[in-house]
Amino acid sequence: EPAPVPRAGWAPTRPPALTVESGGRRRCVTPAQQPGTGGVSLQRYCSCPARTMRGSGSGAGSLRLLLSLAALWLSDANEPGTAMTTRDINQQTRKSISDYTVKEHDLSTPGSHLTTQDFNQQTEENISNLTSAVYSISINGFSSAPVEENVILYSPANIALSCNLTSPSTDSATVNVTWKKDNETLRSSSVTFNETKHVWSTQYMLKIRDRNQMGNYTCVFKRDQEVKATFHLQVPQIEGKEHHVVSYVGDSVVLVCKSIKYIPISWIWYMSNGSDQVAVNDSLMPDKYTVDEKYANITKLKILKISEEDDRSYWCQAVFKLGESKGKVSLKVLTYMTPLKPFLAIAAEVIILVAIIFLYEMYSKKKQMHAEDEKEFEQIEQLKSEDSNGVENSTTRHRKV
Amino acid sequence: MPVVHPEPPDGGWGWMVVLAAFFQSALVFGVIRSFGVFFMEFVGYFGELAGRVSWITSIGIAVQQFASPVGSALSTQYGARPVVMAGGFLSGLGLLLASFATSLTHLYLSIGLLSGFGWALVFTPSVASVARYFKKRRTLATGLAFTGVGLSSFAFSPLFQLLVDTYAWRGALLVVAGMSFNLVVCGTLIRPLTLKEDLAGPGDPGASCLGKLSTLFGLPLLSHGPFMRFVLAVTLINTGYFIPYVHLVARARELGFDEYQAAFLMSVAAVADLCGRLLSGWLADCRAFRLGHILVAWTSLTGISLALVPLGRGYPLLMAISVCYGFFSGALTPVVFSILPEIVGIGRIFGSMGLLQMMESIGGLLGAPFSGWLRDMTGDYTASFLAAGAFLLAGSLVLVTLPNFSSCLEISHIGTLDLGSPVPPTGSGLCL
Repeated sequence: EPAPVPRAGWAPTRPPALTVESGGRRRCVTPAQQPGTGGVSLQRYCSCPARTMRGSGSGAGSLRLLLSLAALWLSDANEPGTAMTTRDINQQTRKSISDYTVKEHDLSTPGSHLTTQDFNQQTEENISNLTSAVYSISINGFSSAPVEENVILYSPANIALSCNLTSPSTDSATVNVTWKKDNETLRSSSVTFNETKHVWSTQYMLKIRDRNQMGNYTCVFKRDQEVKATFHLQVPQIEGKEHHVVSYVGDSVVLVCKSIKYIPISWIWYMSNGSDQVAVNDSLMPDKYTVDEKYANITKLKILKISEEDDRSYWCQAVFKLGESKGKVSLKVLTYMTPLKPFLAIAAEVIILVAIIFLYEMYSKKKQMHAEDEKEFEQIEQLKSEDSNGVENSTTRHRKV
Repeated sequence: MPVVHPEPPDGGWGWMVVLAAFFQSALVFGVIRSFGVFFMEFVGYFGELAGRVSWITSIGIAVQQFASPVGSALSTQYGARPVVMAGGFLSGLGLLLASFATSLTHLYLSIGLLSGFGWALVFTPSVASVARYFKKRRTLATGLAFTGVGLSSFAFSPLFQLLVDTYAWRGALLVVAGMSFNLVVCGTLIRPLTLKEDLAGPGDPGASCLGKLSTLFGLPLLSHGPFMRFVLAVTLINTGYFIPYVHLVARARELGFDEYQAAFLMSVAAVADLCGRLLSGWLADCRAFRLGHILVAWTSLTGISLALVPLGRGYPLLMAISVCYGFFSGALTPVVFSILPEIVGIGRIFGSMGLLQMMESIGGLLGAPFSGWLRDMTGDYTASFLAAGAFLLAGSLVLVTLPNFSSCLEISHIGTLDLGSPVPPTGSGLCL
């Protein structure tokens, strides 16, 4: 039967469903895992905005307020003159953040280890030329551990980073909020601060245009204690191959790097030289290295006439508008002697078994013939003795049938 | 002077022959089925399209089936042992040469043609030898021999993947070639056996070279009514039989299940297949029913379970149907091979098996593309599975027309030119 052809490309994701359980707790329904190629692991997440508090209507309410604020800002910035009802705005917002994935992690356990959530920037239809998205973290209480998220961006965008602090304490002292980028305090007019009963939320608008704006952004809430949350803005990671690629001396090999969801501008290959990384120059040595870039999101480095020195690590670097990222592929070079040893061992075993079986057969045949000879011999003896006794013996010689 | 047995020995060295056939089916079909591991490597290395790479195994299977009469003819003339040993050597040699391939054409020739021909020389004589060594327990012995396929499909896929990860595909092919050389050992185990029917003589000694050749290939069998009806039935069965192997996973994915769930369906069917083969072998040899009736029963049940596949929309139901399909399809396999001597006589077992293999392969080759075409026409796999079930039921209907099916009398089958041996009496003779 023909072997199955591996399927390439993504199946369209089913839109997730949001259900509200009894008791007011919002629960997300996860879509069934979709088939896809390897490379980026699929996350069983659902698209729903970050959970604020369990079982509390006000938390959900404040989030909705936040979202509608964001939506109003977005709609003002992108589509002036369009009259929309509140419901339309909510739906539009949901569509624009529809590719948000949030891990269902409970953020309210104090003293826990760092929790990480991954956000993926939407790559689907844009409302305008530049995509806009809101990324939000909720912090429960002043004594919770610092929270971190990875925000993956690959092209210029307008984003809003928002932190919501929910503190059940009745202390009415003022809360100070600061935003920092890589530990430098930011002073910007694009910070908003909102305070309702028990919930403090702050939002920082950012226009990401090049790599200078990438980095770590931290919001710090300070009263008597300090609590913070960090957004790591970074370009998409490239996955290399964890396992070695094996090849032989004199053979050729193809090293592949893929970036499934995000299309880089270009790719550069490096090889390790001791502890440095040296660029692979395929134009200088065209009969040794060939780079095939048929598709923009897959790069293939073909190495010809492999020798033992090619046993090293190679890096494929994807260049995005907002930065670069590398994936590692290592090559292992073998000689033909390596698989020859098990082959010769098995061949020797075959020869030995065949010899044993033939020898056993000859031996058992000989034994059989020997036994028959003995039988015939006995019969002759018997005949002789009977003859000598004078008894007529007309027994026929037994012939084997 | 060779020892002539009046009856198949039914034991003794026969069990060693079963062991040989077990390893042989493992090394032939296990390798073929696990070749998918190499498929991915070839696509990456040669940069070729998946379609062109899948021709390698297709050519191998096609050659194995079409060249089966050659294997049978040679076995009739020279005995099974030298033929199987030569076949084992050729198949190993083909894989050995493949490890040095520099283009896809080399692989077509070395794996497809050379190894395929070696497999043809190995398979039919081995199975026929098992049938020659057993009479009362023929179906059980055949079933045991075929369990090699199922077990090796399990073991060889991860093993091949491990070999590819350690040695790349060239080194892995080298090691697999070594493993295939063990087929020579299997051949050595098949001790020559002379049955009474072999001495009946292949026709008059003055026959021309062509006449003798045609007898070797079993061509007179083409005018043998019951045999041709049997071949038709098995071809129809084959057409429907392989469709789930190709399309069950696709059907599961069509319903929305993920890759692992779909693959698990096939694994479960494979386990059921194994159990089916063993149980059917044991049951058939109990001699409570006639082999013909048993075969019709298993075939009809397989056809019904295939026709029910479209009904399985939930995972548990689909799983249950897969288990049924696996069990019944496994159950019918040993009976197909062990009923053959009853139709044509044990003296002509080699020739008949070769012809059977060759002609049933037409069904196997056409079944999957036809099912795929139905799917393209109708949009989903419902029609494909219904067609598969229909083919199997048609096959079982044709089986009903075989002699000795519905009569209580033992009719010696109607030979034409040369008389084969009369059909051996079937034990207790329960009439149904």
